[in-house]
Amino acid sequence: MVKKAGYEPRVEAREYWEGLKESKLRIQQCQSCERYVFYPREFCPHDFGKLEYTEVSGRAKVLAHTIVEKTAHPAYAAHTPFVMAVVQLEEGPTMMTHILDIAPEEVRTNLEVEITFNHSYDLEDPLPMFRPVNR
Amino acid sequence: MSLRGKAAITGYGETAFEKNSGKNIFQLAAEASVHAIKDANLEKSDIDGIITLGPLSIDARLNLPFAEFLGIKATLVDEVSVLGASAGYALKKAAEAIAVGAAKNVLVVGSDINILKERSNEIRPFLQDYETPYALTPNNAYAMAANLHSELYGTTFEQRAKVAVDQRYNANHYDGALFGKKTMSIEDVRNSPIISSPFHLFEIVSPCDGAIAFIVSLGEDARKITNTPVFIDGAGFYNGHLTISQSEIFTNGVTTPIKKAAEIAFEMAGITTDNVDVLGLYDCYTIAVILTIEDMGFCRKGEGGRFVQEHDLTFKGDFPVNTSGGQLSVGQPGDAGAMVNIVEVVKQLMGRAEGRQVKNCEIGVTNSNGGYFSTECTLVLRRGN
Repeated sequence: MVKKAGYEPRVEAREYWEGLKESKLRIQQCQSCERYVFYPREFCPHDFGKLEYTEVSGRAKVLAHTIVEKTAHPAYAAHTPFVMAVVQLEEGPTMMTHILDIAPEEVRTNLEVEITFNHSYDLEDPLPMFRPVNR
Repeated sequence: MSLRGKAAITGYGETAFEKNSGKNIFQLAAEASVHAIKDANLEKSDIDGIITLGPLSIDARLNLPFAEFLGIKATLVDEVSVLGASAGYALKKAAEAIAVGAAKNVLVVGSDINILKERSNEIRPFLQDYETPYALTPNNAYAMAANLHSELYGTTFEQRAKVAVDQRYNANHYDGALFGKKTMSIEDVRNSPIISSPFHLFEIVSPCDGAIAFIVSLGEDARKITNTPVFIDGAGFYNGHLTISQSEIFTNGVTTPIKKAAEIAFEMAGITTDNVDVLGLYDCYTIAVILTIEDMGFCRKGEGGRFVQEHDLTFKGDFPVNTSGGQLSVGQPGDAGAMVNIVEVVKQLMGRAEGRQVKNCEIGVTNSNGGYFSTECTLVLRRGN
């Protein structure tokens, strides 16, 4: 089992991590400019507005990716090759993830994906991963 | 305020670049610093400022312990911590400090240990929370940028590999390079294993032990100190993001914060790309050189691959880049890595690049890149004689 970090989750991110335990993607939304924000902040990075958590769709598109052939990370070393990617959520924010359930060489920029918590990685804390939609 | 004419590099010093030097970070820093002070023909008592680079290999800051270790009392003792951009940023800060009278001769020193051997336990907020859990390393972040650049603009493996191959030719003429005795062809790069697509192993920098130091002196004193001062005529810094997932490069056509850093530096120095004779561009990966060439404006966005294919990047060529081999061939001494690129430009401008000397070299440009195209510092350096 691999912990996500060597220290306790940050207070401002608690609802995000709690959401993941329930297989929900809960991110922050600014109460003044209405923009969605990820990763969790204290104030909206666009206008310093107040942030509230809300559940989002989990739909996203791939912005950029790489096929990882070698990694020293203990949770993933036995799973190469796998696809690491930055995706943009339908609601706007971008996040790091892996793209699962697709042949790695088929991943392209703008590929439409959706969140999944169903994977074979041995992680202590659940992490949002993504897979192609309509598969 | 422009820095033009205000401060100049008057000496430099280096250690060997080795996989395992058997020395610690303070020993290496001391060796490079003593060389630099002697190179500038200064005395220990002339040094009234020290700026160190935040190391990757140990948890401590270097500035106060190193000042004492070396035996220097100073009116300026600072440390910069902008990851790989620290080298350029430290020189910028030294020039700025001199310009406002905070010191007259500043020792700028970067020293680090091979990060495969020793690694700081420093907590890296946000990166450690939201990216490292997915196994992200710099290899993957830069690979994503390279992949997207290929998708958008058709940049090829051969174009990226040529950067590493031209630089290796340069390294074959520099005794100090870690890989100086090994030649390398495009096919050699192709035959090295893929680590994270599209990168082959030989497109990726190799960490090492080492230190480099510079003396930055008051501009009006510089010609009294040395016949070959190198003026810091322009310095531009821009910090765009920290984590790669928050970067704009994936939504803006792979335009890095180098663009803004370079604009500031070029404007301050009063130059255009046409004036540049030699370049020292941060080269943790082949793609970094291509993106830097684009974002500094030597070609249009997306044409960097074709540019490096059409130009000879060796010291004999029409567009000399990283003429000692760059970090890809010399090695990357941690956060001091960009000093490898910078010290070679300084040697060229001082006329001390030996067999690699580029003729009629007057203006040099360097870039120091930190994080994942996160934090950038461009310097315009000018031969002062």
